[in-house]
Amino acid sequence: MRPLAGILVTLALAVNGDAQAPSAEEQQQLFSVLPLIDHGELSRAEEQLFAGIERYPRSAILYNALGIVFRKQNKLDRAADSFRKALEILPSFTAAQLQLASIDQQQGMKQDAARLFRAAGESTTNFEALVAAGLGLADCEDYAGAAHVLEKARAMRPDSGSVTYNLALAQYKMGDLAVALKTLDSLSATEPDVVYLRGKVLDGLGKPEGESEFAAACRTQPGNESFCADAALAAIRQQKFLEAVALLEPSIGKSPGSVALLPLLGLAQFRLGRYQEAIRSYAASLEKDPSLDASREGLGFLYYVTGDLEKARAVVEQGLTNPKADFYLAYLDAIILYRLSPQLKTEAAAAAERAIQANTRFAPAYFQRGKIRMEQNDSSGALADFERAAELDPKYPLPYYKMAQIYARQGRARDAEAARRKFSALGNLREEEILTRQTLDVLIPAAR
Amino acid sequence: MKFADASAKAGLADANVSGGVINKKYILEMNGSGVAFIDYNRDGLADVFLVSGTQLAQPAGTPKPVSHLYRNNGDGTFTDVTREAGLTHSGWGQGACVADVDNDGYDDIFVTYYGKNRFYHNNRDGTFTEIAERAGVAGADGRWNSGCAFIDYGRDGKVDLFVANYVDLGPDFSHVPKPGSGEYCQYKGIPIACGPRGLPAAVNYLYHNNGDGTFTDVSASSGIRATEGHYALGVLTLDYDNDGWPDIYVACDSAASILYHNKRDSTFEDAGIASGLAYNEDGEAQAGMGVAALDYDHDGFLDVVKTNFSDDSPNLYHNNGDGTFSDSVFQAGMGRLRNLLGWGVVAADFDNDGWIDILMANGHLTPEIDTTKSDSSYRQRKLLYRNLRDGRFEDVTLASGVDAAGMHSSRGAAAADLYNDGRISVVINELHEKPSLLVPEGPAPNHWIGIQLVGSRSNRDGIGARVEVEAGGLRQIDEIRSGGSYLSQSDLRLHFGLGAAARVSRITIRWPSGAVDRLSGIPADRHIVIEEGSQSWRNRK
Repeated sequence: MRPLAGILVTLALAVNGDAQAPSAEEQQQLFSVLPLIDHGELSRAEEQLFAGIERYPRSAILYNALGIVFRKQNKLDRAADSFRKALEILPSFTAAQLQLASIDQQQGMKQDAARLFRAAGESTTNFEALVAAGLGLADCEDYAGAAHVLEKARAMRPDSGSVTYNLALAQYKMGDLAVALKTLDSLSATEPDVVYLRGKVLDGLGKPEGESEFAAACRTQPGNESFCADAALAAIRQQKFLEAVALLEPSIGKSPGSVALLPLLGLAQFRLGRYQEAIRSYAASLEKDPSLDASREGLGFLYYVTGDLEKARAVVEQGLTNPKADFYLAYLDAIILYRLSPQLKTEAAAAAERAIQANTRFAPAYFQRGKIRMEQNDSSGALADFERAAELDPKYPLPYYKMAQIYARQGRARDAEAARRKFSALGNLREEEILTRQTLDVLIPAAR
Repeated sequence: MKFADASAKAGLADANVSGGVINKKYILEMNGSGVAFIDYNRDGLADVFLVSGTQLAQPAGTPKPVSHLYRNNGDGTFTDVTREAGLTHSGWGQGACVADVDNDGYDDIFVTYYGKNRFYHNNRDGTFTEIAERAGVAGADGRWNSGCAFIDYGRDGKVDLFVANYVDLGPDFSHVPKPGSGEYCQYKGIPIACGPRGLPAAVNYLYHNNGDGTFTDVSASSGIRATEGHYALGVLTLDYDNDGWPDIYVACDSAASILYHNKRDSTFEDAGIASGLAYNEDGEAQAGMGVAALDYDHDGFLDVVKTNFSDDSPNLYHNNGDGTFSDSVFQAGMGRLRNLLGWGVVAADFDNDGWIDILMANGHLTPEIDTTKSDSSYRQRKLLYRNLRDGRFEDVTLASGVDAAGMHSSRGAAAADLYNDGRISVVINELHEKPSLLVPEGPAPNHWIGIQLVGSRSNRDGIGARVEVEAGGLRQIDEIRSGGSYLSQSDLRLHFGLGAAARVSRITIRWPSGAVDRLSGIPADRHIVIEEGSQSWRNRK
């Protein structure tokens, strides 16, 4: 979205047509002050405006101008009081509405701001004011309101690419994806912002073409992290790992300091089987920002799957020294310790426990704890964990495998067969598919 | 333990054929073939049978590819005797297994094909007669037969035949999608031949030996057919629960592997899930290829090693002795090389120290893989793991010279003491290339003994017999088995390394018939023959 400030200054004089017009004297008073404001002589402007208000105590435009002077001096409360006074005198004064809304929004009072932006958008016929109201509403996350107001602005100037773009963006944000796509169709598809938004809309509609739009935007502006991160994510989701790498490498070259793109590059390299490169990417990311759990998780996971369990443990447990570490790190610690040595089962169980405490709805942690309990001959504890894991993620087949094993070993043939059937029905996943799932469910969100 | 590649000198000159070399349209072109050892002429030397596939379209004027039988000349060279032996069938050869099916003292060869199988009966004069149709084991056109093994599952003195089947391709591939056309037709973003996922799975077969030169398909009545939906490849027979009855383990691709537990009444039940052999430790399906049995920790129970696809680890299933297994591959130190795609696997005591080592043959599906620029490549090195005697294995590939065989896309692998001198050699069937022959350099390290069994009440080869060797304070076990590895067959003779022990204190043989022979005080460093019930041994010629 474009910033509001510039528009607001140009609207200093905007008064609705049906409102009572200011007198010639008031206007003259205002015109004498405006050059001072423009030249930054704010104290003199303030003095002259106070003098004018003394003369014209019911002048909305002078209060509005005073508000602008206060705002320029960052005296927000006094500015807001001035705008309120202007609105008290002239409730439909669009410029004051927009100014006060802008301050409210700046001060976190989004609801008050949105009410004022809406009012301005409803009453004004001024194009710039409509745009300002629309953008303001969008910034207040009232996307339906923004779309409504911007639609009016667009009706006034259908050739305004900026308005059409912002309208489509608002429609996208409010989830009206098909309408957003139609709006975007009227725009030239060469602007990277437009291409990217089209990608977002298509992606939201579940259309794979979104990936190529992201990629085009990223190729045009490889230094734009958002474009390239989304392009890479979409490519990874579609298993186009080579393309993801091809998009990310130049982007990282343009933004060598980026910690957002390196984990994604590591993820794509990992899925391509370029384990050593992936390890380097995650390690580089972690080096830039050791507090980044996503990179630590990626690096730990890579060491884990490549069998370098001691390094995996070191990376993960270093992250776990932070008591607020992500639950997935604790889970990783559990699976690493479990695989590392039979002598570390107690520690593995403790790590699984920590993961569960940190996220009571993460099924794999229960599965892992169940496995350890199973090996410790705690069949009932293990079964409880597997049942909980299955309950939390009804599409998770692995707990049923372990349940079938326990039942079979207990001689409960019927239960074992039922669990086996459930397991088969949910699909016998290959590790490659498990990794894909983990990539989508855990690593991508973590990387984001 | 130092190997050299002796294939060129040995004269194993013919390259494997398996469809297109560069562009492969069908998964059938990717899987390659196995290799079998058979002493077909009973000269006491293990000969080599290298299975070959064919091409989708035969270029005009070129000879049709065939599998090759190489006679071992005993001097480090081999002679191609394929034509004179009558083994010139051309087709999509997959695997081979060996046994003396009619107990006439001469080993026969069964060869699996995409299409009808071939069963070569040994005429005892250096030639074979193809009898698959007559014997009732040919199968049908369009079936993709993969691994095989002879097994006397009913312990009636006649070896029966198990044949794994992979994918139901049909006779003309008409229902097989084009490379890149679907979810299961790409690999890391590049289009490759489809499958096995997404293609219909085939079913396995068990043929009962009627004792009159014919077999009866008992797949349904035996329970073999009760488990379906697998893509079966490598076949391993072993008595995993030490109950005296041979069981069958089948490595399956992208699906649960199968453990056919012998219920001692001519039927089997799948104990894969209950035993832990169906999946990896979590229940994730793996792409199982080759399988071998070994008691790597000398606890008296046979453990299982299985090779899998790349981006995964092999399995080293430790037998817990209670019908269950635990995958110890990471604790054993064998789980780190995820860039390798394993096929053939041989468990043998290469350094004769009394502890079984493991050799894996690796290679990717198609040269197109190299375009992904992943850590994995089409041609890969082989791996040799030395048993460290504490549950762990050490990668000695470089130190042992196994890498001297170079980089290939390896498939089947099998082992034999080719020169009867206590050194175990390995032949590897390399996709689209001549085979590799890894031969140990120098004299055999440590002491050793080779054992050939001759059954009388039991089947003649003693297939399924459990042999226990005690020497130097170690007690080792193994079994005579047909099939194994990836669609392959190692020498039917057993080989035990004895370390510093120059004498075997005791050999115990539990025959399939139930008879038990015990022998003691056998000098080391020789191949011996033990006949069932004789309680004695003699030197093998």
